[in-house]
Amino acid sequence: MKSMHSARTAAAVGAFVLLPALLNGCDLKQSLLSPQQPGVIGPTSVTTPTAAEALRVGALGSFKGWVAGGGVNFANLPMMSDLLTDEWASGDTQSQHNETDGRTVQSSNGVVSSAYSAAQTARGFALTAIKALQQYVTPAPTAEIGELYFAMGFAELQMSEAFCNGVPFGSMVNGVPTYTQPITNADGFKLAIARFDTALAMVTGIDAQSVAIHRVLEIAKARAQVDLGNYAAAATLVGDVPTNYQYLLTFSLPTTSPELYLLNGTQPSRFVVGDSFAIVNNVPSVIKNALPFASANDPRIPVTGSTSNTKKAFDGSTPWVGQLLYGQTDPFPVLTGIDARLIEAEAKLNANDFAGMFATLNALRTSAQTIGNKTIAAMPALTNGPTTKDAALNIFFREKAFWQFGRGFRLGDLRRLIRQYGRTQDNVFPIGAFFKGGTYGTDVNLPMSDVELTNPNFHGCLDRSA
Amino acid sequence: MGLARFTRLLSPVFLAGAICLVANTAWAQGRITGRVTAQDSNQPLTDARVIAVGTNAVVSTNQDGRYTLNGVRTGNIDVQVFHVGYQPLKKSVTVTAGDATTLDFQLTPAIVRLQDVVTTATGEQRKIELGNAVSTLGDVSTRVEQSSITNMSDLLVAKVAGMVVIPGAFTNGAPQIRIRGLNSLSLNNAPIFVVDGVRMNTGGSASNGGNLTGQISVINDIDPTTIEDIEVVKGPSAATLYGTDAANGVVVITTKRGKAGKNRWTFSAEQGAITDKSNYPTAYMIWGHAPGSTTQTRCYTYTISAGTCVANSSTSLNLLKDGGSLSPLATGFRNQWNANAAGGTEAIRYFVSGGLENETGPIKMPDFSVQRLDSVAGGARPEWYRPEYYQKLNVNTNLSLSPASNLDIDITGGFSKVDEGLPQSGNNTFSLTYQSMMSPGFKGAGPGYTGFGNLNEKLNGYNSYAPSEIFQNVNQNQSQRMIGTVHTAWRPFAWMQNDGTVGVDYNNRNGIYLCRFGECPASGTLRLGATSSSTTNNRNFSAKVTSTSTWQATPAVALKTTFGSDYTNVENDGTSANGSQLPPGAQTVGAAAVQTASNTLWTATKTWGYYAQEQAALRDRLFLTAAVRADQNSAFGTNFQKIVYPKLSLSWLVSDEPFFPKMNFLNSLRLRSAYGASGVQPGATSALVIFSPTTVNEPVIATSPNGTDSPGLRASALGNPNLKPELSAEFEGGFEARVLNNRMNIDITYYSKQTHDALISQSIAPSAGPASTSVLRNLGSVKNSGIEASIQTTLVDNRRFSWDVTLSGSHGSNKLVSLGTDALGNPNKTIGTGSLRDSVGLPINAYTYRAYHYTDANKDGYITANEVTVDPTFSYIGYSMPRDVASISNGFDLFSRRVRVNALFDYKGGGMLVNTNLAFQCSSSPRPCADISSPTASLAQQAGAIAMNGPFTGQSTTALAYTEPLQYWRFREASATLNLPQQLTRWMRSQSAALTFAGRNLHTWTKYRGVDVEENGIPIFAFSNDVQNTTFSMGTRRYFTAKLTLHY
Repeated sequence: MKSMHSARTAAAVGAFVLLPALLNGCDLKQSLLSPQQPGVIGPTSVTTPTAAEALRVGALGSFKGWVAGGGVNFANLPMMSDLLTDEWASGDTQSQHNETDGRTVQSSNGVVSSAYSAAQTARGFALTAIKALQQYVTPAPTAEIGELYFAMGFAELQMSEAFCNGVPFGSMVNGVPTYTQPITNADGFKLAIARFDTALAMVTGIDAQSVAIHRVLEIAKARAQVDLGNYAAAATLVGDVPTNYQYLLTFSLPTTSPELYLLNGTQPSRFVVGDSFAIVNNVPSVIKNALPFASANDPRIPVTGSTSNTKKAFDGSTPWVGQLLYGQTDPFPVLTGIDARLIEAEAKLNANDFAGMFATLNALRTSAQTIGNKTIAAMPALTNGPTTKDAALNIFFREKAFWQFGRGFRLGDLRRLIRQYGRTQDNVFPIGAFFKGGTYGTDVNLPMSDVELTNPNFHGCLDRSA
Repeated sequence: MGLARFTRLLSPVFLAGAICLVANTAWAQGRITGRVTAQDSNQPLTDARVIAVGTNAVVSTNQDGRYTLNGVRTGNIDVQVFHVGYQPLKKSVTVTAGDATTLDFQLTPAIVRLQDVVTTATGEQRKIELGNAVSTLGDVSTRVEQSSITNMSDLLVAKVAGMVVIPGAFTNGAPQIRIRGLNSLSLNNAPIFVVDGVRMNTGGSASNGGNLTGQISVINDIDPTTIEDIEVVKGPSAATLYGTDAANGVVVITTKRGKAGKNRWTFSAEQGAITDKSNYPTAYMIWGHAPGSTTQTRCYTYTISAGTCVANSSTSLNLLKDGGSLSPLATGFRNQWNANAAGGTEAIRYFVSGGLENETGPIKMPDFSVQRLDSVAGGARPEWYRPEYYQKLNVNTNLSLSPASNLDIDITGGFSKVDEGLPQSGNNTFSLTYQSMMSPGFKGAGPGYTGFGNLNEKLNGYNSYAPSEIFQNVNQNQSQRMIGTVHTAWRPFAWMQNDGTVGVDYNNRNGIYLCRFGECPASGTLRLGATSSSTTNNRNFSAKVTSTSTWQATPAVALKTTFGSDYTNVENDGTSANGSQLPPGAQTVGAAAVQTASNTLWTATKTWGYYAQEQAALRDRLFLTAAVRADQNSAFGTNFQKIVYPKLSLSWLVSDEPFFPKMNFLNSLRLRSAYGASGVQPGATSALVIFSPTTVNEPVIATSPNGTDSPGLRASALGNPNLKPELSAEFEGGFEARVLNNRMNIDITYYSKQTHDALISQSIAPSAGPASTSVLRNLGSVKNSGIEASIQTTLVDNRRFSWDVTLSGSHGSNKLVSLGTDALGNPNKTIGTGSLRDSVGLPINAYTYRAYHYTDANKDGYITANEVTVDPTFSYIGYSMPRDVASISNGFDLFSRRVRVNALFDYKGGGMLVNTNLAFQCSSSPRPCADISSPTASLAQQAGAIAMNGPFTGQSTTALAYTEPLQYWRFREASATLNLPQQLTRWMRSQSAALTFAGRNLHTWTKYRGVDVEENGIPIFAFSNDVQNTTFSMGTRRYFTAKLTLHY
């Protein structure tokens, strides 16, 4: 009896110790190990028209992020490119902002890397959304798809204006990166034009949204054409865009605010509005070639504070000057009818029609205009029209800078002054004593970021020319 | 792996186990009882471990030194007794069926105190049976009682060779713990913690509210006074049976149990003072003027050299070190009360404990700020006056039941409640460390500095905000935690023991950040009010079953077979809400004009493992162990199902072999070696393609100036269906020797560990427009190797005076063996482009900088940019964490052991540490650092700053000068414990009493110029959790405590 009892017990115990192996094939394993991530949104959730629409919204949000949005600490690409010029001065402790302001940008600059990455990934989001709309929405919404092509092309355009020659534009195919060769800025403009052309061909509707998208595509393409020196074609293209047109990015308190507000809207902030002079060793020092954005008292750039302000920026020492154009929830104009008029004026300049250019500029000044949601009061007309191309250039680019302050145009314009109009960088970019120490460097563009070195085709800028 | 293949793999093991089952079916059982006493005094020895060798029977003696081993097989049995501080003793006895056999032991005091029984994944074992090194802290109670150990972090630092512990800096700051180097580039390198068999949540949480402060420790929730022992399992060779996640080591904590006997009480009360004597940098100012000008300006060494500034005087200011009434540092204080009771019967034993701890850190609002708030704001709120505090309540109850002679049940439960306030420090402009270190170098007005802030508050030398406003930023955390386990040991037969453990660690944390309306620094819209609230819930569930069978196959060979399975479910969820623009008096998010919220649903990582182990013991001298474990985890990719970890080990007490030559000086020699593998699992969602929601304000049409918030989606993670755990395989070998009449114990271990399938965030170039610029792939391989040594000895041992010394140290090497290949199939050589890089052939997170050279070409005593040359290429500089650690612990017993004095020194070296504070001071306006703003700056100092700042034409800058060797000795602990005389204890009606005076972090010897060699704030930017972040963090605090302990 005792041995039988022991044998039964041994059998029971044997079953017990073999239990884990038996459970290997059991449903219990499934329930114990089933993934538990209820908050995760996976690929199966993005296969409907509603999801495609959400991807579109997400892509436009990413576009807004790199163009006009961002965080409270680091600038986006347009602001970094403007910082390299005379539009902004760094009131920051971050070396990344300071070296950009001082025109000595390192290829390892983390802020430039982030700004670059944001612009490139936005291209990817736009392409993903385009494919989703085409696949899941019937009929395909052409205006929405066209807007996404605009987002892609605008990224290619802005990067080509801001960075050196040698920016690659690849894509992801089935989750695998497809890397391309770095291309020149000129080829980048052509790539952008190709995007805009694709969109222009499909956005032909007469509804308000289609018309709005069509116009921004025209202005964007024209901007790229100006970058390539095709002024006349650009002017023709934008002829039908009303001066009061604006393609706007909007903001709200729960989402985000314009980057110009986040980095310059309240004191102390990391950026201050640029001026034609700075305080160096407690003494005002002229910055050669810099425009007096802060001190001009120009209604197109309303400011608070001054370059001799006792209230300081984030670094505790730079006098604070804040712009009043873009508040916490104010819309940001990416491209406008004013931009279209400036394209026309430049075409006239290049056609040696200095008087025509002058008239176009004065037409803008002498009527009230709208930038974002701010009304810019009419200004007195300019007098003493230019008689030489050099003088015309000075007037034109000054006016252009004031109309387009803070919107990422300035660096491209300064480069064109060198590249298309034959000026030297010492006559175009800020030079001389840099208020944070030493002297300004010699950068005329942003260097391509080291983060691109993962691309086996990329080995740095092709060149750093304007 | 299918069932058939797995079965075939384990078939030899199964065969051995089956043999055990059949062979042992007919054995009868008996009982052994006895008493363990000390040889010299005949006093009973409580808590001695009594083991029937070759069986599963293990018990502890009760308060009277008595023990009973039930369910022992009949026949000849060896019984071995261990007690810390005494020589182990083994005796043989014959056990008869149904009868009780008496076997008493008298133990001889050991000169060297060692722990000879350890807790492993399969239960308690004698250390001599293990082929791998296991470090134990030993007598934790005595350590805690006789020193200024206030938390787990203090308990662990400088105690274990090969374990690097960087303690937290501020009150309840999280320690950084790494064992035997870094295994992973992407995953957490911290060891796991197991408390009474349950996996413990150890993730430190950062402060709330967007102001970077530091990592809070959650391991400090455990009360050190409730700990019986801590064992550190160092690497895969030992951690195999702990499964996936154990490759970085395991810290096994066992809490106290009751002992049968009359109820014994222990009370303790402690008071202490806390100071911060860190080496905070001074701010300097050279006053001067431009040539030909009378306007005062700030000079730097390079402007003096250039002739653009004429110096005429200098000032300096150190608000944190020498600020006097302006300083935000004062003396903090702490007090702690504990009470515990233990006792019971053989059937029920209990240990109950409660404690209350209060600590107020050394940060205090300076008097001038208090006066300002008195005048403008009606006074300072209490939470502003002393913003750094910590209060913890602990209650623990452990019950041990023996309802039958073959059944034991342990029930443990611990509850802790923590309330703490966090100081404003770290990398943000509102931190008092930033504001102090970035002082202009003078008080009052001066060049570029009005001396007043935006609210017209007097700054008194602070950079831009006064403490009166900074301290109005309130950061508080509260947590409640419960850790509970039930462990059952059932011995149905003499040869079998089955154990089951179920446990939970439930942890709820709430963080609050608040700036009321009209309070806080005048920056942006902050004074309109802001608040945020977050709740995090962590739930760890652990369950484990093991069955161990023993069989004396022959008189010389004993076999032990173990099968086991365990399951771990680590789950978390949380919510957070933020509000801005508060009405006056409001404090909640709900009252804010702008509210946002988010939540994380209950996300879990689950692991199920099963294992088998066979151990053969030859003549109780040679122990061979083979084991295998298989794990499945919910985080593995869908294409990867299971991982198998093998283990082999050998332990040989070779000195007991007949052939071993007798040497006078050598008392015992044990050789050991082990090979094993373990892993670290990827994150819960790392394998998945994920889309993230986003809310975008979108105009109705593109030209509308108004928009509506719309829901959007974006791909955010590329996922990897082939994701598998990182696998670490380790070999270790070593020996333990007792020499010189057992006066010295020497323990040497060499280890070599290689991690395969290391998870690497493979970069994707942004030009491809990826949703994420990296994807996790199992690409890399990392190697760690090193040597660990410890020597314990008693140099002097007589009645009046004794002196014991413990030396321990380790040296480790870490190397990236491979980083996988790029898109074209070429080997990746380096990841990272900044100063912290991962490169093949170098350690993880290696510091790399451009070198620079300088010369004072014009011999003017100053260095300018044209006198500095920076190399164009980056060079490897060194490790980013210490690779050499050592400690020296001295203990003195004086006056016939009435006084015990302890002193612990520890050393860390072999790495580099970035002096970020000084670098920042030298690079950011107003650049008040000594290197360029002090008239006595050396050429080397000046050159370092110039090399970092330039400006250069045609060459890059380098911050090499601010990456300094990390090498220091620290006088870590000192204590003197006086056992109060019997007359006094009788007066207090106590059995014994002790008064301990102790100090902690008393002095540091180092050449490091920074704030503190153990400064470690929240990881930011490119810094990983494995790199000390020194950006405006606080230094390590100094403690002085007095404690009275009464035993009843």
